[in-house]
Order: sequence, then structure tokens, then C-alpha cells
Amino acid sequence: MRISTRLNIALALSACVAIGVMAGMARVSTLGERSLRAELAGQEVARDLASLLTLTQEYTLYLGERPATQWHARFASMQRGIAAAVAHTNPPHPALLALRDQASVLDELFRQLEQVALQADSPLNPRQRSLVVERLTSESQELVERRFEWAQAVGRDRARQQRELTLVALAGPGLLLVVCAGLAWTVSRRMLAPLARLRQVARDIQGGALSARVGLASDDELGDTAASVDAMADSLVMTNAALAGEVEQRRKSQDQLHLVIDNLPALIAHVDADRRYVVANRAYMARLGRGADELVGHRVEDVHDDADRERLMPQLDLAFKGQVARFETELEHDGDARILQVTFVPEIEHGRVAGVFVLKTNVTSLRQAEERLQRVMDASPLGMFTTDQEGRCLYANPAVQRIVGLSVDACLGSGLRLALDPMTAGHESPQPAGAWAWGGIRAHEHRITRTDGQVVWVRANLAPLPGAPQTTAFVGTLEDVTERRQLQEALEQRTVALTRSNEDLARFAYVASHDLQEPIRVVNSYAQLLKRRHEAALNQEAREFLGFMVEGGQRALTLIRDLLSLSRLDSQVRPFDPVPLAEVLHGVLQDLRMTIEASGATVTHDELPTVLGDRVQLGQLLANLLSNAIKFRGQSAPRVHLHANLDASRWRISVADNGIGIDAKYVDRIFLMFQRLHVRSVYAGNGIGLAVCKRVVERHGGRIEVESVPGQGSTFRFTLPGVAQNPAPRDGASAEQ
Amino acid sequence: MQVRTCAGWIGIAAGAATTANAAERLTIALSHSSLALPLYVAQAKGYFQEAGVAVHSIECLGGQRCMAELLEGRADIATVTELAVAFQSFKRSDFAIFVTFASSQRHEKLVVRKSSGIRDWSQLAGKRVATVRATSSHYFLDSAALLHGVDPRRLDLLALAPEQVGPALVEGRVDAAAIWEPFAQETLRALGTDGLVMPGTRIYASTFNLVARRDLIARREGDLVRTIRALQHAIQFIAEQPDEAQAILKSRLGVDQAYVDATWRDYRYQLSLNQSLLSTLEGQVRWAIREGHVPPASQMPSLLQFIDLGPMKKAMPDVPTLVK
Repeated sequence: MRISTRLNIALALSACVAIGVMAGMARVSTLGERSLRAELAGQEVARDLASLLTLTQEYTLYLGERPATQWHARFASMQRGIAAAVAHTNPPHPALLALRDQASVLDELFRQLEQVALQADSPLNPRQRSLVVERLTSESQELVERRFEWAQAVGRDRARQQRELTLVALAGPGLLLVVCAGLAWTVSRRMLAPLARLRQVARDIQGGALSARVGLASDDELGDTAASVDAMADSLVMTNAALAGEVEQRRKSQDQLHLVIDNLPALIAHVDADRRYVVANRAYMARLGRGADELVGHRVEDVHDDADRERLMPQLDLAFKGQVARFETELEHDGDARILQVTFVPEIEHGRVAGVFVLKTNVTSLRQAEERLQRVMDASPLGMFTTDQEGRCLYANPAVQRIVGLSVDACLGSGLRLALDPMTAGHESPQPAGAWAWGGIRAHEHRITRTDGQVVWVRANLAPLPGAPQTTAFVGTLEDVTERRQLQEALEQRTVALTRSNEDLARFAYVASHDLQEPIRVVNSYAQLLKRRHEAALNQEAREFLGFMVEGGQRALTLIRDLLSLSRLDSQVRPFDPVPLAEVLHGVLQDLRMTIEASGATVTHDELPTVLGDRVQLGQLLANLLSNAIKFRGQSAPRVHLHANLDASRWRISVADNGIGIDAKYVDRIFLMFQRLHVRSVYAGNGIGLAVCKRVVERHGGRIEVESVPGQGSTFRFTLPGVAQNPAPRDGASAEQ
Repeated sequence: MQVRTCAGWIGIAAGAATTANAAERLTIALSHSSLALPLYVAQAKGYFQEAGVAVHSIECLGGQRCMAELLEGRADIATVTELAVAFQSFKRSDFAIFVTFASSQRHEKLVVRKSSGIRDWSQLAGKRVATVRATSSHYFLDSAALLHGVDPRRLDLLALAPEQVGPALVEGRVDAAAIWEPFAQETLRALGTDGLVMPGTRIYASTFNLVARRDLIARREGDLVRTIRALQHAIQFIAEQPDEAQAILKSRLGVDQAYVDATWRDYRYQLSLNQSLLSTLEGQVRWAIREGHVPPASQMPSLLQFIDLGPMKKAMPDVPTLVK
């Protein structure tokens, strides 16, 4: 419980006791006053009662008017006294109430006595009078008894009130004394002793005994204070431990730092404001050839020789003025020349230079590498240059100067950029001016006009240097490609001429075949007519010649028709549409129905896709392949199977037969125009069919090839462009036509 | 060892005393009346045992019979009104009142039949009136009639036993009946609308007392003291627990709550032995002589000898106010 709560309770208790004492005394006083009034009333009633007894006796003896009058007056006085006593007691004592009732009986009897006295001449009068007097005597005595009982009760009340008053008078101060004693005891036990303990612990902690604790387990303010002191001691212990840990950590860090800087190849040292070495790493001391005792604590000018001092001191002076001094110097130590990059970094503390960090880095290898690189670049036929972010040239090797025809000074700055810029160079370019190099396009070929008037083609490449200093943002190469561009232009001109020639040839083939068809058809028709009508009239030799002519005419027509269809592949170009190959195959099979039936061939296929292409040309492709498969059949009936599978975005179609097959050495020839592997007398044909197939497939962006085993059959595979809606073929799905 | 022996003797003595008390129980001739309520309560609540006295009661109707039980040796104590003592004082003097424990100014009543034409005390002259002779009801009837101007000697008085008075009125053999409670209420209830209690004057306050033979008072004063203490306990109980006391009264008298409600405030229960008792006794003795209820030439006895203050003084020293 809180001390403040205890104090409040004690105060409340004291107040309650005081109030209780006062209330008790007030109550006893009130009761005493009432009892006193009742007692006074009782005394008056006793006086009245005694007077009534006397007056009754007087009246009984003399029956006078005066005693009767006085009797009633006295009785009224007694009744008032009784009523006052009843009013002053709460609740009224039973003896008082009995007295009041008894008094009314007395009044009734006295009035009867008066009545009897008025009837003095009645024969009953003596007897009546005796009876009433006897009863009056008895009731008067009873009334006296009742008053006595009441007086006893009042006396008892007074005695009780006196006892209560005594009790209150004694117990109240006693209770207050107990409360005060309790408070004193509480203060002593709950406050003074813990305070002494707190004082002792504080002294212990002050003396360094951090393990001292109050250990007061109470929930009052002193308990809180003790807990705070204990917590403070705990915190002190933890803080000390943390500080010790931090010191240890710093010592370790310092050791690690020394270890690191001792093992760094760079020369590191620290000079204080008095220019004395404070710290120097192992490399530094090794470079100077001095031990720590010869260096640390010694002034800089005392450690270094005159030559060093002459180079170092001006820079050191700058550092002590607050500037970072960086410079390179060549030092020779034990006959070994080294290039050192020296950096003096001022150590600023509170706005003034408190010392200087010295960092010396051996850049000898770097400088040597730079020199070698410079030589390579000078010897390179490839122009190399660097620019800043604005395209200003920072470096250009001799090759650049040769290619663009500028001197080194002319190249630096904006000169090279202006020389390479297609627009500023006076030549048209598909790229906007300047965009090729510094706007995002990293490579470009264009012509430039050198300062000597010579026009050259250059190929320029530009690459950013990630992380490069801002002064060098791009590295570029420059190549003179004038000779290659000239060869390329000649090749392009030749290709254009060849294309034009091919177009002329195709146009010629179409025109020739179309125009030749009619006269040959006339010759052939009349030859057949001659044979039908006049063959019998001809001799054997003439009939043989006529036969040759008819056969030749027929073959010429076939040849011209095939040539025409071949030429139409290029001349009658139609846009590609989605073409269901199954429908195309169905049409082809209808056209070849007679041939198939005659040969007993069986044509089967798996599910065929819809491809993007020319329906007519795809029909020619399938018709030629199926015709060949049936024509070049073996001993058994031809069996042809078509299969399709999706390869990437293109359909690969295969047409496999069981024909005679093709010798591997002829595979490359079969797709050439007019190439025949068999004599016409065995297998008819003019050698154009597979050439048409190849042309059709190539026009669809595909390739055709054949795989064959002589005597077992051939498989022609070609690719066609697919459409997105094409269903993927399902394995095992097959149909027979 | 000596302590053990002493304790043993004390135990034996205490056992012997308990045995003696148990053997000598007090027999009380107990009247059938509301006035006897403290004795009923003391018995019902075990206050006699608590006080250390074994009490046995025998029921009797009226003080005369109870007094007879006492004087004829069948009872050690009797409950009687002071009038019974007054009449008996002419005959013998070997008994005495040792405590008064109840009183009432309305215990006795005159019940009339309306059909008899009686509406007032003055109309009582010449009427047949039943009562128990030489009892408080007789004294009440005589005194009231005289004060209302009717000569008691002109009443056609029929003396009956207490239990016969009411039925005589109900059966019409008499015109009025002077009897005490609870017979008065029983008679009134039996009469129904024909019954009437005459509004009486408070001419008489009867007291209820315990009387004993003098030899017993001398011999067993301690038991009488304990009896008085038990009665005081019972009176305190009646004051503090009136409902339970009324229940005991109903149980003992065989009356209902209506009777209790009608009469409860008429009784005052308090222990006393005071001068008024002596005054009342003397008045009643004079009345008996004057009215001829005792043989002619009967001398007035010394009534102080019929009050024994001994047990009361020991039980409650401050209560008795009578001076001998």
C-alpha cells in the first residue's frame, strides 16, 4: 500500500475517530439532557402524585370542594408532567406508559368518588364510598409503584448514559492515542528503516560497491524509490560493462586498423600539428628504411633528406593550410626508382588543422602500363578516341588523325565530332545530325569529306564508359571502310542487273511457252490427223517418222504446259490465305482418281493442318508428289502416306511412298529443271515436276528435301507456314482416301 | 494429585445436587388463563430447566381450584388472583404470595344476552346473573354493580363452576354472566349477535400471583428463586418476541388469533411485590366482610403475613417495594 494511501487512511481514521467521539459525546449529551428533563418531569410527577394522595385523603374525609378542585388541578399538572416525560424519551419507557394509563384510572375513580359524594342520601352510598376509597387507595399505591419504576428506569438510563459518556470520554482519546501510536509505528517501520537502508546503499554505491541493493519489497513510494535505486545500480553495472566492452572493442579495432594499414601496400602515416610522425605503417617505414623508433615522434623535416624535403614540404605546408595536396614524385631508393602518388589530407578538428594524413601510393606500374597502352594505340590502324559527355574529344590516336585528316589539336574538343558528323561533314545521312554518336546510336557508317577534299567511308563505334570519370564518358573507334563500301556498291549494282535479267528471262519463258503452245498444238493435231487418215498409205519408214512426230509433238505440248505452269508460279502471284491441306488433298485425289484406280494405289494421311499459302500452288505441289509416288512404283501396289507435324511455327509435311526409291548420289539433282534419272521409255516425264515442287515450297518460305532408300521408297519432306488457328495434329489419327 | 481429588469431590457433589433437584420437582397448579402466559412461555422455552428448576404443572380452572390443589398438597405452587388469597385468608394462614407476575384491568367481564333486555348496568337489578362465587369475577360483578347504583344483593346470583358460567348464559338459564377470560370471549362467541360485553368501569385490576405454602417457601426457597428468574426470562421473551409468545398462548389456551388480538393489550406482565397488592387485598377483605361474603363476625386477618418477600428479594432485590 502506498505511504500516501496509508497517511490518507490514517487521517481518515483519525477524523472518523474524532467525529465518532464528538458524535458519541453529542449523543450522550443529548440523551443526558433528555434524561435530565425526564428526571425533572418525574420529580414534578412525584410531587403531584404525593399532593394527589393528600388531597384524596382530604376529600375522602371532608368531601370539600377545595380538595376536589385542587385534586383536578394537580392531576392535570401531573398529566402534563407525564406527557412531557413521554415526549422527552424515545421510546418511552414501559413504566412511564403504565404510569400514564394508571393515572387515568385514578382520575376515573376520583370522579366516581365525587359522584358518590353527590349521592349522600343513597342507601348504597356508604358501600359505594368504601369501595371507591379502597380502590383509590389501591390504585394510588399502584400509581406510586409505577412512578417508582419509571424513576428507576430513568436512573438506569442516566447511569448508562454516564457510563457511555465515560466510555466516550476515555475511549475517544484512547483510540486517538492508538491511531497516533499506529501512525508513529508505521512511520518508524515503513519509512525510517527503509530510508536508512536507502542511505546505506547509496553510500555503498558511491564507494564503488555496485553490487549493493536495497531489496525493499514494498509497493509504496519507498518501495518505488528503492526499486529505482536498485535499477540505477543495475544500470550502472550494465553501463560499466558496456563501457569496458566498448574500450575492448576499440582496442581491437585499433589493433585491426594497425594490422590492416601495416599490410597495405600503400604508405600511410599520420603527422600531428607539430609535424611529428604519430603513426606510420610498415610499408612507410620500409620505404624510408627507418624503424618505428626512428620515425614516430620525429619531425618530418628531420626524417627526410634534403631532396625529399624540397619536394614534400611545400605540399605539406598546403595541407596544413587545410587543402588536400595530391602530387606525384619520383623517388629512388636503393637504386630502385619509383613513382609515388602522394596525398596529404588535412585532419580538421574544431575548424583547425590538427594533423595531416599522409598516403603514398606506388603508381609506377600504372604509369608504365599507361605508356605501353599509349604505344599500342599509336600503332593501331584502328582509330581510337575518347570524348566527354558532350562529345568533346579528349584523346585521339594517330590513326584517327590519318582517317579524318585532322591534326591532334584539330581533333581535340569539338573538331572530331564536327568532322564525323554526317550533316556537318556535308553528306546526307539517314540519321539526324549528331544522333549516331551521342544520342543513343552507337555505330554508324557514312561518308565524310576530309580536309584534303578526299571522300572516305568511315565506320564509327561509340561505347559509354560505365563508372568512368566525368571527363571521359565515351570511348570510340574509327575505321576507314571506303574500300569495302566500294565493293559492296558494285555487288549491289550487279545484283540489280541480275534480278532484272531474271525477270526478263521469266517473262520470256512465259511468253515463249504461251506463244509456242499454239503452233505446236497445230503441228501435233495435223500430225495425228495425218496418222489417223493416211497412216495406211505410208510406208514403214514414213509411218515410223510420223510416229516420232506425233510423239514428239505430244511431248512438246506437255513440256510447254509444264513450263507454263512453272512460269506462272512467279507471274501469277496471289496473296496467301489459310488453306486446309485436307481439302487440297481431296481435290488432288479426285483429279488423280483414274491413275490411282489404274495403279491400285492406296493414299492415306494423318490429320492435316491448315497452312498459310496459295491453294492452287499447294495443289500442284501435292499432285506432283503423288503422281511421282504412283509413277515410280515398284513391284507392289503403291502406298502413299501423308503426315504433318508442327516444327516451331511451321508445319513439316511428309509424303512417304513405297516406290523404287532414289539413289543417294542423285538426290541433289532431282529438284533441278529437266533432270531425269530414268529414260523416258521406262518412266515418262520431262523433269520439271519436282522443280515446280521446289519452287512452290520456296515461294512459301519453306524447304523441300528427300530421304530415300532405293527399292524401299522415298519420303519427301517440306515445310509450310502455319496459321495461329491451326489445330495441332494428333498422333495416330489417320484417314484413307 | 490434590487438585484431582478436589475436582472429583466437586463433581460428585454437583452430581448429587443435580439428582436432588431432579427428584424434587416443583408442581405448579396452573390456571387456564391469559394471565398465566409467563409460565406457559417458561415451560415452552425451557427456561425452568435453564434456571435449574424442574417444574411440573397441573391444569386447573380458576384460582379457587388451583388454591385447593395447593392447600390439599397436590401442588407446590399455585397461580391465583389476589382475591383467592383474600378469601382464603379468613380460613388459614399457612401460605403466602411470593411473587406477582401479571395484572389486568379487563380480565373479568360481564357478558349479557341482548334478548334479556339488559343494555346498562342499571338494568341488571333483579336479573339472573351467573358467576363463580368468591373469585375475581364475583368481586368485579359486585363492585361494578354497586358503583352503577345497583345493589349487588338484588341480583339473582347463580354460583357456578367456571366452565359452567358461559353455557348457563348461552342456554338462557341466566341473563348475564360475570366470568374471566378466556371464558368471556368463548361465551360471547357462542351467543353470536345476542351477546354483549357490558362496558365496565375500571374499578378493578386483578393481579396474578404465585402462592406457596410457608413450609415449602422455607424449605425450597432456592427453587422458588430459580422459578422467579425463569419467569423474568419468560416476561422478557414476551416483550421481545410477542408473535412467538402469542403462538404459545394460542396453543395452551386453545384460542385463535382473534382472541389474542382482542385481549393482548389488556394484560401486563411484570414481576412485583408492592404496597398496592397489600392495599388491594385489604380492600377485598373489607368488601367480603361488608358485603357478607364471609361468615358474620369474621375478623379482618393480618394480610401482611400472606406476602413473603424472601424469594423475591433474593431473585430480584430491587423489585419488591413492600415494606414489612
